[in-house]
Amino acid sequence: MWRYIMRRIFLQGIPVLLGFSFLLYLVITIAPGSPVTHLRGVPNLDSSVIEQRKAQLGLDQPFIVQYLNWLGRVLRFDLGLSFDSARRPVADLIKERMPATITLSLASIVLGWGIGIPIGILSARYQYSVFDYAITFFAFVGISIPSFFFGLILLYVFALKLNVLPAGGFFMAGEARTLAGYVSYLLLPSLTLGLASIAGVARYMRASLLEVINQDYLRTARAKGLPERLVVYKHALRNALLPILTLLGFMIPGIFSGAVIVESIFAWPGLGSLAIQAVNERNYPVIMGIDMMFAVLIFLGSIVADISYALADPRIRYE
Amino acid sequence: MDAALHQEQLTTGKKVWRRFCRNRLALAGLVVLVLFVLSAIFAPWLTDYDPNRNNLRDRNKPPSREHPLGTDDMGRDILARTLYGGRISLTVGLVAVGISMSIGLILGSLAGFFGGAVDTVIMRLADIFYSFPFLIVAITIAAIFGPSIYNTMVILGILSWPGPARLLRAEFLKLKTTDFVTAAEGIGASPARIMFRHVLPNALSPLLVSATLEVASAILSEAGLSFLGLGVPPPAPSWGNMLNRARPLHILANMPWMWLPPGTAIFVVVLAINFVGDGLRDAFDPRQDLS
Amino acid sequence: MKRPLVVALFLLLSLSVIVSAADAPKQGGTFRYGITTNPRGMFNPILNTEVYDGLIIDVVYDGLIYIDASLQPQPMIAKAWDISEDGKEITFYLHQGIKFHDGVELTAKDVAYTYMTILHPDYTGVRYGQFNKLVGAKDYKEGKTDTVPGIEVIDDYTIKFSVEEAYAPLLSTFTYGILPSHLLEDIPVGELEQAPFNLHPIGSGPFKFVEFQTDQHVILEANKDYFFGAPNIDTLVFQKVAQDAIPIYLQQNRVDFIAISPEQYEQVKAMPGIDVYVYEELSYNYICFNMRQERFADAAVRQAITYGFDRQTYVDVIREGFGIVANAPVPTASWAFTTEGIDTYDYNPEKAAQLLAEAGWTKGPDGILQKDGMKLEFEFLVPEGSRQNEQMALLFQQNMEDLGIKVNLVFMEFSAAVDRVDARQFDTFTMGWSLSVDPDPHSIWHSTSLWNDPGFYNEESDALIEAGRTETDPEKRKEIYAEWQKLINKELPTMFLSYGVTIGAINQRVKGIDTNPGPLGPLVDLELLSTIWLED
Repeated sequence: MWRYIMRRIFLQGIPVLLGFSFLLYLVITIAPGSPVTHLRGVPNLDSSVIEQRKAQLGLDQPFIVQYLNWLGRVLRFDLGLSFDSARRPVADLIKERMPATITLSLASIVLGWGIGIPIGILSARYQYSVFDYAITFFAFVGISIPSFFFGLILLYVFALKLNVLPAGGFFMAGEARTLAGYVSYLLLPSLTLGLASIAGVARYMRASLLEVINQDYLRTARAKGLPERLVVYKHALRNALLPILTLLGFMIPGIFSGAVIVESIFAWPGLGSLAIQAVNERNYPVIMGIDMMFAVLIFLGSIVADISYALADPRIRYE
Repeated sequence: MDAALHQEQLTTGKKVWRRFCRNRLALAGLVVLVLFVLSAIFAPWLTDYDPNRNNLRDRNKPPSREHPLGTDDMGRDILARTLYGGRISLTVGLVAVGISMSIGLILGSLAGFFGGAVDTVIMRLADIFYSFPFLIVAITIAAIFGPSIYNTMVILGILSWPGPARLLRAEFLKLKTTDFVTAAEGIGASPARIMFRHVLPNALSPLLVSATLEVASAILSEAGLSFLGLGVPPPAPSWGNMLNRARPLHILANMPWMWLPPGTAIFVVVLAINFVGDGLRDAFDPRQDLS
Repeated sequence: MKRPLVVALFLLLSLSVIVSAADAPKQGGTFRYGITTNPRGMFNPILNTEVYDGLIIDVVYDGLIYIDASLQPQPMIAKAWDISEDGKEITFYLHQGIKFHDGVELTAKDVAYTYMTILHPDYTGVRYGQFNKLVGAKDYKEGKTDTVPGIEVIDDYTIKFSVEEAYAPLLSTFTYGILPSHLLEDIPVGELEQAPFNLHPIGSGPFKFVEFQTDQHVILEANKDYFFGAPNIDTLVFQKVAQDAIPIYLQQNRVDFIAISPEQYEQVKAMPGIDVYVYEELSYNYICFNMRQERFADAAVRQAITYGFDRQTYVDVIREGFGIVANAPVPTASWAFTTEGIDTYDYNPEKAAQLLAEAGWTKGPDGILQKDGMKLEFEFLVPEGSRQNEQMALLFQQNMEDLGIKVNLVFMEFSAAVDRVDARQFDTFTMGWSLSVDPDPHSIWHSTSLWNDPGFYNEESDALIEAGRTETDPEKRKEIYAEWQKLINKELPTMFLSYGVTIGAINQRVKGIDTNPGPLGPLVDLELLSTIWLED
């Protein structure tokens, strides 16, 4: 197993990440607009300042030189300095915001799986009942609403009309950071982000469990007189749950993308707003830093997915 | 042998269709979809208004006899914009999936058929595209080429090809592991012919299902991009950018006629597509016949 | 017999104490200033370029002068100043006893350090262009000399600045916060950008920096030893608020002051406990013509297009009344603003058609005006992200269509649009300018300017701009600028759309604000934060 993981990382991961970083750097450098655009409007700007700034940011060099410089720094674990006027280390900028995005993503996963799995199980257990149809319908609805739209509605209903939850943002300065507070700030954004997950997981769980539940070996268990409850929860579930892990691996990219929009609606202080701002300002090091981080996380997610796939199906073995 | 295969496929097709029709939700979804597509195509006949003609005197008016769905902040008729917006949103979805399917089919087949180095390179490429954090890349590309309908379609399409490619490749691999190929070779048929004549039809079902779900996903993504101001640019209407205009809370609260039509449209269409997709998946599953 | 007298005296005394206590501003509390964009963390006045970092800098540092509500310079660290007859020298006399937040006294040495750093060859910021007129600045910048003769420390509390030729805006540029040289002089100027100081600033202003949480808030506490009197409030917080959530935050009393958008005006105005102030800004937006193209080189065409665009409707309907139709590049808020001799180009499509016809434009077979092989069909670049710009562009397109002019709207991301503009690859575009307190238009309008986007080369305009720059008599300066505005108004290298207007919402518990705000708003650009108080 470890040999497999190592091989995956070195033979697959590294070239992929390299290729990705190269393509990405190329794409953002080609884009019209430059990091010095924000100098427009500075009173009495001396033209030498623009040239000096460009040299400082390395923009006067050809693309390949810029890329190799960036790559060299990254290999030394240095993500470089932001191109904006504050010139702060990219690593700091990401570190400041990452916990918020991770919290949001985790919360939405917890919600998605925490609600989705039980719903899916019950739906499979009581297949074709009213409950099943209702859940199935709700699941479909959940994956059919654009997340930002759902978020806006939640904001409107709970924050504006009912005034029971905060309208986005995070703790105000001086506000006590209680657990209840965390939950109240996190609830709406993670619900919005998790909505599609809940629906997807519920459906997948239901399908997976159904596939297992009607298998022959369970028929034997039932014939032996085991109560249905035991059949389902003890035997079937164990086999049905593993494939869900693969789902986790697949859903991670979607969660990161979705987080960007959700953070924008709820002013959640995560990486999303930094990423959008960085693209608008052509802040190359920040864009590269965030994207590379996501790419690494997505890659790790796919390894997790593959491993759990192997664990679930003994016929597949990686050597 | 070809004739027998052909026969078998015909009956399968009919069987699939029959199974599909038994699923009421899926059928309803199909009907709804057809209705939407027709209304988008025949939009000019369904409304007199030019969706882009602004009339500042009539802005922000609630539904009335002149404007069944009210007007937006530039005085444009919302019903007209929803209908024409359907054209754009549906087209974006279909073209994006068309692009991703085409690329995916070609690359997936190449990878599956040739295997070896070709396979590795293509799969690595797929991984690269797969790692692209979709939204961020979409934003960046929209910046290079400017936000437009065509660019949105291309972006969505190009970033989604790994899905179909992997699917097709998996089908090839599945077939390779069976004795089918060895047996057929034994009879004298060339492996290439076998692969393509048997893989593609088998792949059809998961591909079709995947395609329908991708259309839904593309429509949602278009809405998301427009929400960030990077999708279809004004003045052309799309369901996504119509929703974007309703973002300020006072419009959301007080002028629901501005966002209910496009929001409902997206929701209903995507829902219908999901029903159809799910119905297709069940319809292609031969085990359904047993229950 | 004395008893009643004592009692009466006692009563009188207590009465006066009570009365004066009622007048005395209440102490304590936290003021929350709402912002919609995150500061970057560059809290250094000479390196910063961002508006929101500027807010924190404004309260942490004090400058030699500050700008008051009527846009006039007022003493701050400098208690007085002398300007020489020829306008080439300013001598500042500093207060004695001003202390930085760490207790060290602020002297002329710190002032000199602040400004010499800007002129240093390794300086990485953008302010150089504003101070390169100081005597010896260029040589110092190029490393030829070790000192700047134009910055002369006369004694601990006196410092003199000299320029090579009279420069009228000079005084107004001395608003930048003064840095503590004792904390920074050992850092090489080229590395100042990376100094941890920038994230933990120490100045001499009314508020001390406490904490910066990215994308959330900045917390500052009152400087009890502030030279000009400790602030009444205890804590100042800059709170990040999502644009869409502003009305909710105001309603839930989570912010005390925040600027709102025109769309939110009605909703916020109706809220009890909130006052809304509307005040003019020093800014304007415009549609720029590329005069390098022959079709736009003719002033008649530019004037006709201006007559043909209903700018009043743009302001009244699209901006919902929050704007003032502009006809010259000097806003109403500025002291140099004038209306005499300014043509208002009221919407008049017939006149527009007439002007075009007289200039030789006729409708071609496709209905578009043409002349000598040129066509009045052009691209209009509109930066994305502003609903108002979008609506304005649509209105413009429609108005032009009525004249036989075809406008093709091109919506672009802002950065990409700037690229096109800088490369002069545009037909027309729209953007805006935010202006400094001093009306000197050189940066934008001189033909040698980096931002001469229209390609406006006019000797008279250049001459007037240069004259206005060196004229020290304010009355004469005003006349020069009036002349210049008339010229621009006639030539119309760009079509002016509207002067900016800010809408500020403030909680009624905040007392001591300017209730008749000028362009700097009810808090006079954060100046009043050191004197306002909160009454719950």
